[in-house]
Amino acid sequence: MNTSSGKKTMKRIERFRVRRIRNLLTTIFAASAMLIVVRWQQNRLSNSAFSSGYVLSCILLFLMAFHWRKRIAFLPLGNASTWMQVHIYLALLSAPLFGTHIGWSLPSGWFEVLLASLFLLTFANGLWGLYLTRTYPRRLAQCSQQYLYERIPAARHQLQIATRSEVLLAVEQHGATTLADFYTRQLAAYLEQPRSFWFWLMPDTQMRRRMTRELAGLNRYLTDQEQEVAERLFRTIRVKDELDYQHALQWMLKMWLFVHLALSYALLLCVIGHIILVHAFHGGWR
Amino acid sequence: LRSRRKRLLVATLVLVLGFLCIALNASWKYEFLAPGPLSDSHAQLLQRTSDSAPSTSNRCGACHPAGKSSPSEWAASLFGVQTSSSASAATSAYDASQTQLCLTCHAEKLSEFAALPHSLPVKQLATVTEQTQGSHGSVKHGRQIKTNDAGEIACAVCHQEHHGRNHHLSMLTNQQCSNCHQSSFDDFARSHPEFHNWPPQQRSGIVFGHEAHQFKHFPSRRRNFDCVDCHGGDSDSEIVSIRGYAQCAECHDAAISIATTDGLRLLQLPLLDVAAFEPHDIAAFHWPEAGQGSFDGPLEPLMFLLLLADKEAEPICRAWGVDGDFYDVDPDDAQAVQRAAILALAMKRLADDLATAPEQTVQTRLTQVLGADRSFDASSLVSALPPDLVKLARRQWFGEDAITIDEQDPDTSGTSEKAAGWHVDDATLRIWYRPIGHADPVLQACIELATIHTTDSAVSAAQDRLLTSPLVSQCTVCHRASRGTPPTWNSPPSDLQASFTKFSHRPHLVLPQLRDCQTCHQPRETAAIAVSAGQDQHYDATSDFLTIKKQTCVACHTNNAAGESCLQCHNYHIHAAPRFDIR
Repeated sequence: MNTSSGKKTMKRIERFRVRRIRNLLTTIFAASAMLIVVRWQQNRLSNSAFSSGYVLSCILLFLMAFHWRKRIAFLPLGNASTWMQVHIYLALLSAPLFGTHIGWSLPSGWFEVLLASLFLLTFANGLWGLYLTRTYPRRLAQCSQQYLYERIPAARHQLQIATRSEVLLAVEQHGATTLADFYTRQLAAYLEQPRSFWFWLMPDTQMRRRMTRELAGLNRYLTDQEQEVAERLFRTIRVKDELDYQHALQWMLKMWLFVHLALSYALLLCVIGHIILVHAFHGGWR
Repeated sequence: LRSRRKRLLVATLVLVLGFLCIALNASWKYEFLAPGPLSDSHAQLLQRTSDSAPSTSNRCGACHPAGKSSPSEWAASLFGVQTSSSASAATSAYDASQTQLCLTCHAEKLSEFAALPHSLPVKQLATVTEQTQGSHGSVKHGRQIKTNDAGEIACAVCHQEHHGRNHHLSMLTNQQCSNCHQSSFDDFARSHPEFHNWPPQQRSGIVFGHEAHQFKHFPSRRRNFDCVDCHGGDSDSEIVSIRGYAQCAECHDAAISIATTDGLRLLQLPLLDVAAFEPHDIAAFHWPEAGQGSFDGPLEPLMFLLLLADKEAEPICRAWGVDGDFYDVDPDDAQAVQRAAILALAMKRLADDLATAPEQTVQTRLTQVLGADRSFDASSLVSALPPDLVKLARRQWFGEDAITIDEQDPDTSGTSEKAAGWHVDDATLRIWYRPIGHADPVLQACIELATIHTTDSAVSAAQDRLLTSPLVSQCTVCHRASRGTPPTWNSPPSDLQASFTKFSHRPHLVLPQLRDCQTCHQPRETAAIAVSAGQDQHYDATSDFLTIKKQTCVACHTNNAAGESCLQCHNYHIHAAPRFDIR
């Protein structure tokens, strides 16, 4: 059973590898072909900026169609996985084409700078998103328990209430004031307060380790009964950290897409403006 | 989450659209929309315009027809829709192309065919193409480049603006030139055809033998012969055809001065034997005492031409010819004396006419002699002749007061005869002109008169006498002239901009090995032979120097050294279409 599962995994990995190499080669070939065509046009004294610009615009529209396709999922337009692959490699293809379009030099006009910045930000954001979607799901899968993004605040709230009740009960039953002091002084804030900005960007276990260390330091002052409660508090700290960790990862997975879409629409508007301008101001015959 | 995302997207769209709307309606909209800084020359020009008229905020409109329209019209024009405002603006803005706006400033330097390939008329370009097929590689014109109906190429096809202040607007690659020129251009050494006629071999028209001057005349005066003395060429100046006569004056002025001593005679009264008139029943007339004696006196060629226009004198002039002389008149021959008297009276009439209106007299008489179809402007010939000078001479010689003198008597004393200008000599009874030296306008006019082609043998003989006179022949030593071949006074400036090929000596002279002119300009053997044979002047239709071979340039003009761009040596816009030649 394990052997056959392993073989399947190996086959899938191999299939992904072959697909990636094939798609990369296709992209490189397409990029090379377009660069050759643009160079050929430049040698013909044709305005290659028009052709490269229109190809870029078409690519941009197709990349954005990935977002619109989700709204018309009922139409047989291919599966999302294929669209994703095309989206990724067309986006990669757009980079050298964009470089050719702007002559491999930084633009100097304000509007051109805005346009180029939007393109580069969207492209960089897309690359970051690609990295996130390839690594974060794996990190999420390594967590002991999976939480839905929308339910994480509720789970965190429940954990907070349960912990508070447990600490109060321990005080009532065992007179465990040491744990109550620890809860009041540090744990309550850890459970209630949001994590820092940097944690949202790059989640880590630093805070969890610190809290665990602090709680472990109290161990010698605790009675046997209190130590049982402390053990449950250790678990609470781990669960809270996992909740925060998963919340941050899932927030990032969603947020980059927000930014990506916002940048893409802003880019689309500026591209439309750019097309109108170049047609109005180009120096060729009308 | 989805609704938040939707709100974010809508907010983004509103934000960007709002910003673009503000930017498109702001006073700084053209600065915002400009794709980059202009090249230095255009930027300075527009800056100057803005400085002189600060209200002109729309600088884009100077070059772009769309610059005079609104953003809504730009959008409408993209889809071919005409808005109500654009319909009215269409005639003023979109009717003009950007190329036409370029030519509003550049038309002065370029010809009316500026936008045509090579700025040449279609037929002329076709002729050039036909002539250069084979030798310069086959050429196809305008097939690849987008043109308008008239076959014109938009300026922006080659000249791309908004690429920064230091952007070279005329920069084109060899591959782009090869777009029309089908023969492939890999590199200068292998692909460029051999030079056929470079530098252009036609002579300037001014006779000059380089070898004779280098090996004969300069050594005889113990002077060093250095090319740059006459042609210039150092770090600050370009090589020129010649710097001017100043370089020649040091040696040639003395000879010219000697030759001008005798001067150019307009009127020369002969010696008449008035006593011989009475025996032959010829009516006596007043003749100056200084002109009385045995028949003697030549017919000066200029006076001869003017006398040919006198009806009574013409048959006699034709019979005598320009070589005729009163010395040959036999006092006993009634007919000869009669003829001499008629000629003398014709000279008197000529003096009368000159005293009245010298310029008109000469113009009328020469037009009559040469024919109305051969134009000659006599103004240069006698413009400096003071009418009062002739009036005074006429009064002193013939003693008649019919013509009054307006001003004080001109100085006709002998001391002034050394000065340049018109003179009257009462002793020899002549009105003559002493040239000012080199480039004398009267002498130039006289030589131009002598070179007018005519079939009249008497006139031709007089012209030949003029050309071979010691005075004029001093000019024609260098300014070669003959009947039918007008002289060349100035070496024409090298108008390489008007040809396909250009060349600047200056960057070449930086190299020490090229400072020796003979590295490239090697003398022809025929020139050396002429010198060794002792000829003073060697002149033929070709240059004293051999044409330069491509190999001379190949050593440096490679991609990694001096460069091998087509535009280094070739002009695209041929400015002066009527004078273009193929080099």
